[in-house]
Amino acid sequence: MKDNQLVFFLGIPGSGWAKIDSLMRQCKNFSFNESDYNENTIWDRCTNVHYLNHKGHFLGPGSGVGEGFRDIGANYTKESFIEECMKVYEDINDHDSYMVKCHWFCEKKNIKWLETNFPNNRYISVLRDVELCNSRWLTSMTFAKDYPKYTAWMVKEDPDEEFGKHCKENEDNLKLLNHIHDINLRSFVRRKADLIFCPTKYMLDRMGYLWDETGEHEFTWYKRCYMKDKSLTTRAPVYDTAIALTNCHTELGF
Amino acid sequence: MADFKEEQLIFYCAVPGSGWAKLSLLLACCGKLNINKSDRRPEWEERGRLGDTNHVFHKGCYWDPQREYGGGFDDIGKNYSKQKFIDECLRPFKEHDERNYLIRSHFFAETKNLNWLVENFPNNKIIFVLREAKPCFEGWHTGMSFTGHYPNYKAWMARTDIDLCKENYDKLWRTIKRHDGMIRRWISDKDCYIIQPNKHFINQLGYVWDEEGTEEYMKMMHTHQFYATPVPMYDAPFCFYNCDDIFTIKS
Repeated sequence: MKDNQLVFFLGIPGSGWAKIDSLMRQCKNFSFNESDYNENTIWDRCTNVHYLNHKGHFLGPGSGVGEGFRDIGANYTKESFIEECMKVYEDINDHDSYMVKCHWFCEKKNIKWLETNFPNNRYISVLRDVELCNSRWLTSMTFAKDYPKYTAWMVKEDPDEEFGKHCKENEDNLKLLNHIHDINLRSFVRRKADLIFCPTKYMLDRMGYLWDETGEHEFTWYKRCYMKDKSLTTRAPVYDTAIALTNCHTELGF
Repeated sequence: MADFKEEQLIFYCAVPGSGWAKLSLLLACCGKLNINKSDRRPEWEERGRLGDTNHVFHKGCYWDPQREYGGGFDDIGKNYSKQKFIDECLRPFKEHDERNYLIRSHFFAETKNLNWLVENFPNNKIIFVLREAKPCFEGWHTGMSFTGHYPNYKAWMARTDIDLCKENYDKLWRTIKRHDGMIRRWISDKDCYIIQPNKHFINQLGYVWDEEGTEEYMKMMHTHQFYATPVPMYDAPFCFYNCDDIFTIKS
């Protein structure tokens, strides 16, 4: 395989990046490989408020793969980094694109390392107001009991945690890391993004979105979770999640 | 005027405080939109309440009720025939040629107006700026007044004997929320692109980096609340309806 088959996916917890990942994988212009989907990497939860559906790999400390991704340059060579990324895929060929998802890419030193080592690769970044991200994640996920694991965001053990109920220290640490990673991500997007857009149906069409059963399901749930109506009466959706593409001219389909 | 094509009208709509005025100055420098700027007058240049003389935020005509132009735009279908509406749109322009006319009105946001525009001008572009109501209200409050600056906001006033008062702010807030909801609801089932106006994107729209283009861009970057920060919020995207012909994006 070639280096440029790796597509780096950046976003902070609670940004809806997992759902955006599912949408982007339906965009056939990208030809994403899905051999990281298996019974161990598909998880969902429907709370009274949110529907969560995590599919495929999540790299980074605590997840079992990419344990050294907190500081990629210190822990990997370019070759060993690629090797680590590809561990989650069963089918490796020379033509598919491979989504590489890790929240810790949003560390400033990691962004710099990626830019240096993969200057021409495609990057997909998810932007959402950090307060909304904190709220979404803290009310719908746990640090240690769901998929993927967010133990790297913990500062103390919390055996009694539930979604919506976490110890203050861990909550504060998640908020702090989200704040820092959000700044780093927006700085990267400001410098490097070609196009920053909301995933409307029309835009997805331009990227070859496949409207099969899976495609309909993913978009419906994206709308329900992230393009919510402001109130029951207005039917006026918010568009508070944006996707920023870098080096993706061909896939945009314009 | 003989060669006028109705597709030359580009309708531009957003709620007060969305940054739409400044963003329209960027659009006016985009070659692919080929905007006619002959609606500009010195008396229509507005620097806002902060009075920074280096930064002109409003240039050119703004159409809306209780203004010199667009007095009946609260209900276009009721107040104008198609031809009269076109005349009203073109009235402030001094030059008429192949260039496009950017018609800026907050009241286009009324659902009946948007539907009337699409029914009567099915091939025309409509460009919106989307921004949450709260920062819009706060943004407008920072820079504008109801009657002391250009353009006036008399149509948003509840009482006319005093400018900045609670009743007027309440009506402004209610109208912003109402129009914001109407815009969002209207575009929700339309074929639209929602795209942030970053440098790369405006370049794709053929941004002209001459003296004016550079100045407008730098003002935007240095002064605007969603850009003048190391971590831009990207909270005021354009929404493009019927604009496919300008989206030939090249690498």
